[in-house]
Amino acid sequence: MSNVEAPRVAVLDRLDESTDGLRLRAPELSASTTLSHAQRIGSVLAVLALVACAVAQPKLTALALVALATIIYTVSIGYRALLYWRSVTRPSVIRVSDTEALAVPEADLPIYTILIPAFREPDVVAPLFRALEQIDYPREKLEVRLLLEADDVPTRAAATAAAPPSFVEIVAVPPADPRTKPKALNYGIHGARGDIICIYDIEDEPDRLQLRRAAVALAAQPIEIACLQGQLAFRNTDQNVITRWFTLEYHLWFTQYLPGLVATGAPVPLGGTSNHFRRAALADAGAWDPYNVTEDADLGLRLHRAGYRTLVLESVTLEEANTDFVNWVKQRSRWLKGYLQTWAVHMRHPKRLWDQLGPSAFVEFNMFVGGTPILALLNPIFWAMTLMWLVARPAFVQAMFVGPIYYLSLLTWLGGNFVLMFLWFMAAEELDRPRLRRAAATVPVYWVMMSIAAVKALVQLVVDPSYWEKTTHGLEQSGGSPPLVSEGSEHAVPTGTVGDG
Amino acid sequence: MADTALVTDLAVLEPLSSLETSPAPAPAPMLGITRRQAFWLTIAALVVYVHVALWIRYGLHYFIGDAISRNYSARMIVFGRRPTLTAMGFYWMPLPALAQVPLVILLEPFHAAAFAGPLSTAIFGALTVRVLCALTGLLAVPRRTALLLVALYAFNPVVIFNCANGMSESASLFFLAVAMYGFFAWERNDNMVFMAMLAFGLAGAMACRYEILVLAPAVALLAGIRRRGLRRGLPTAVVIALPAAFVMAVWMLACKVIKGSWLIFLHGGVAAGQGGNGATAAPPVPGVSGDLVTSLAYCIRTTLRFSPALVPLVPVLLALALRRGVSPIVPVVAAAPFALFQVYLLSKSQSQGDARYFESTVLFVAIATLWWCSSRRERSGPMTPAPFVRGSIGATMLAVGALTGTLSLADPAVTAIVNEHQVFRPALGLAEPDPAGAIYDHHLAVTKAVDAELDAHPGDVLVDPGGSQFELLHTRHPKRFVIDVDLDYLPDLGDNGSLVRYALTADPPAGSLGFVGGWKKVFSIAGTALYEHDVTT
Repeated sequence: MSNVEAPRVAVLDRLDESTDGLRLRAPELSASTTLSHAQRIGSVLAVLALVACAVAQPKLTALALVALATIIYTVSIGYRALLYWRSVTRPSVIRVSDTEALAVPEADLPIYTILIPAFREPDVVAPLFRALEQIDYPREKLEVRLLLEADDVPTRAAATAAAPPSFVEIVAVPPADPRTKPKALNYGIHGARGDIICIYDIEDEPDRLQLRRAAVALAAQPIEIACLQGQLAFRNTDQNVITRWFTLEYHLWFTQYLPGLVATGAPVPLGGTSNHFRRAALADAGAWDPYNVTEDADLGLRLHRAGYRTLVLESVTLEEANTDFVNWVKQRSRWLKGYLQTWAVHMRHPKRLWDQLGPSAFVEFNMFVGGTPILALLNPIFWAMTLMWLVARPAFVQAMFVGPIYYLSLLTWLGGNFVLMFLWFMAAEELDRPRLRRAAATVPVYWVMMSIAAVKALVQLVVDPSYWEKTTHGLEQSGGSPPLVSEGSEHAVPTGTVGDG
Repeated sequence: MADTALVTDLAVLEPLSSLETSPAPAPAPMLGITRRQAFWLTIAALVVYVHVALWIRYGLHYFIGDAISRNYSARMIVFGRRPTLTAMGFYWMPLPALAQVPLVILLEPFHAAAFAGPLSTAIFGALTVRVLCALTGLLAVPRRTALLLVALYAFNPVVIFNCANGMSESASLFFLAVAMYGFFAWERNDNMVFMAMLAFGLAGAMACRYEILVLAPAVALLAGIRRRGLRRGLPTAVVIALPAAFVMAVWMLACKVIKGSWLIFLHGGVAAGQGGNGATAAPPVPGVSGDLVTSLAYCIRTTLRFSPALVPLVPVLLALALRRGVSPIVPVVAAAPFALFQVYLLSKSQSQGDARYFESTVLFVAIATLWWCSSRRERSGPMTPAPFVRGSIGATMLAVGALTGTLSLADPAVTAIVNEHQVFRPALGLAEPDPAGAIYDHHLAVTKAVDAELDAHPGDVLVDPGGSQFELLHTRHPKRFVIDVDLDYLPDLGDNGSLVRYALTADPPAGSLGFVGGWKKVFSIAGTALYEHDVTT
């Protein structure tokens, strides 16, 4: 091999590893195929059985399906309330004060690698560099890799023109399918020096002490704690009603549901940014699955299956909330598609998963990762039935809701939905902004949007499961109200000092 | 609840001796009732409430018609001819009847479903005691004082009676106790779950009694003001009151969908078969002239019969509220609607001024006393003397209230509506001129006779619930009875000839079972008659 060929071969090897590493080493954990052979057969048989039942006993079949859905709804709502309760009664968020974060001598800090994948984001590169300059971490121990597709000329040009800081390396990822963020991450991690690996999105603005906090926290935790998930918040909370809904949703997720999952010992579906990994654990778990469009959720599962755990770090990263309906649907459909992928992949061997996770974590995985998109898909069906009943009182609707199922579904519909809405009101109350309370009152519209995204996700899962629906950034408006964050973070804004009437 | 946990992290607030060499520091005073003590106190309360309930029902043969009605509703929900939730009725808020359903299911095989009502109130009452025990830890009440005050509440004869009579007060007070706990816990621990506890406690109470329509917004507003001040507190108050508002909205929607009127519960007179388009005028109450002044005077008098502690407590708490914020007056504000509601109704001659409407204030006086006895006061003063003094005064106030309440309920002049004196006078060893036993025995005898007659006449029976509660409650044939919530029921007796063979009604028939013709009387006893459809006419 010549000297010219050697680097090219190395690049290709690295690309192959990034793309096919997990698929070759652990095919049962790769989303390169959505359904395994057994799952495909099982699905076909299930559909055939359902059709046969529907033909032979249509009324009974409909009744059984409605009963099953009602039970799923009831359990799901109760589970979310339980997570909320657990997040309060078993606090599980790691707090590292500014003093503690700054007390560690620089010599004792570990080497940190930050991976920032980006694709077609020329407008957001310069702000990224400014945000990176704010990070308080010794530069000689900081390695930032901006992962750009080699054929993404505008973004590469913008990055070069923006004069990246000295600790930032621009890595050109060779174009190859699947063209996904996790593929880029796998490529970017090769040769990284860091003992701790961290992921950010290109539009992120992390708490300047976040790396220090994570380093201190990981040093204090047992080795089984392989990952810390930072909290996310939005800069453009008040831009429009979509950003307000998103703000409430994220607040509930990062302050209640996620800590609740940690408190219950359930596997944690990671967010795709502000994750801080011990490098060895990341390698042990197989790094990212390039075929999974929620590679973060999937990695959280694999870490848990490998015996590792994730905690929540009280440190906020600001990012941009989606402001546009179409853009939001693209992003959410990718998330829901990824959840379906993740669920399908990890349920290939249910017995093995049960043994690795344990009974309660197994159930919680199914309820959260599988249940979220499935319920979003079921919602329109039941909304349609409710509407039909209110308007026309068709007999077939009444026939499907009899006896205990009727009462349970009535309780779930009225009481359950109200409880869910009230959780949003509680989030709004905690953040103390009038517009957020009004947004909470209209959250059922947001649920409709989720169902739209879920339908799109299901279609794409069949047609193009690994297609990465790119989210457009840079749509936030400048100015407006300051972002809302929790009190302990660098970005803390005291509640009550900002209002919009 | 983490009452013991809350105890351990509270500072001991005692004045320091400044210059002298201090001896070894005194051990921290024990604050709040421990979990173990709370458990046993709750069990003791439950045992007492159930024992008294059994004595009232099966020893004294005393009952309250409204309690019977709720019990039969619960029985019909499950064991009626066409089991349906609509049998819960649309006059009162539904939760007290619904809460009896599991107990009815448990007791029916033993033919004791009629006891589900008193048993449910006993359980709610015991749970209220448990909440109060937890509250003592939250408020850091010295342990002995806490035990004494909670025991004085739990074993107050007025409270015991309310927890043994199958009515709705016990259930509503449990939820209100939860709401009060949520309020004070939220004040101390700025966690939204306690706001939810406050909000859903109010919602649960709303599902029990209509007074909460006034109470919930008032308490929510105080909570909003406490958290965010007067100007910005309103949005918070709205969020807190939302669950209660939702409960009321769903209830009204159910009334509209099922009974055809959003406010059917205001037209109870019509529902009971009486004419008119509103509640019928109540009999005059002595001392009340149908105006606000005399109504208010009556309500204040009657309230003070059960809660005389309000006289010293209200000004003290008001004064403390001016200095410390709204928290001291929250229990008083929560108690007020029970009396104020009656002021309004009495001024419209729409209430009989029943003593039991004012008995609920006892809980709030207990909570207010616990708050006042909290050791979290920094220093003693005229309104907050030393903890021992406060505990003594508080216990005395509650004891006096128990005494005056008991004596009031033994007075036939005060208890002319539901005749509580038929319970309290025997309990106090006083002669009872109008024993309840005769009435109950009479009804049981009628029921047994009707049951025997039904055995001799198999077939479905149309029943007017308003006139046949005892038969519905005690019958061994619930599935034979067609009542107004069954879909095929029609209001006029004559139109139901093809539906049923028999009809059970008052003698002569009245109300919704209007007698038309084509029916012949086959049996009659003490104002109850069994009619058979005469197919020859």
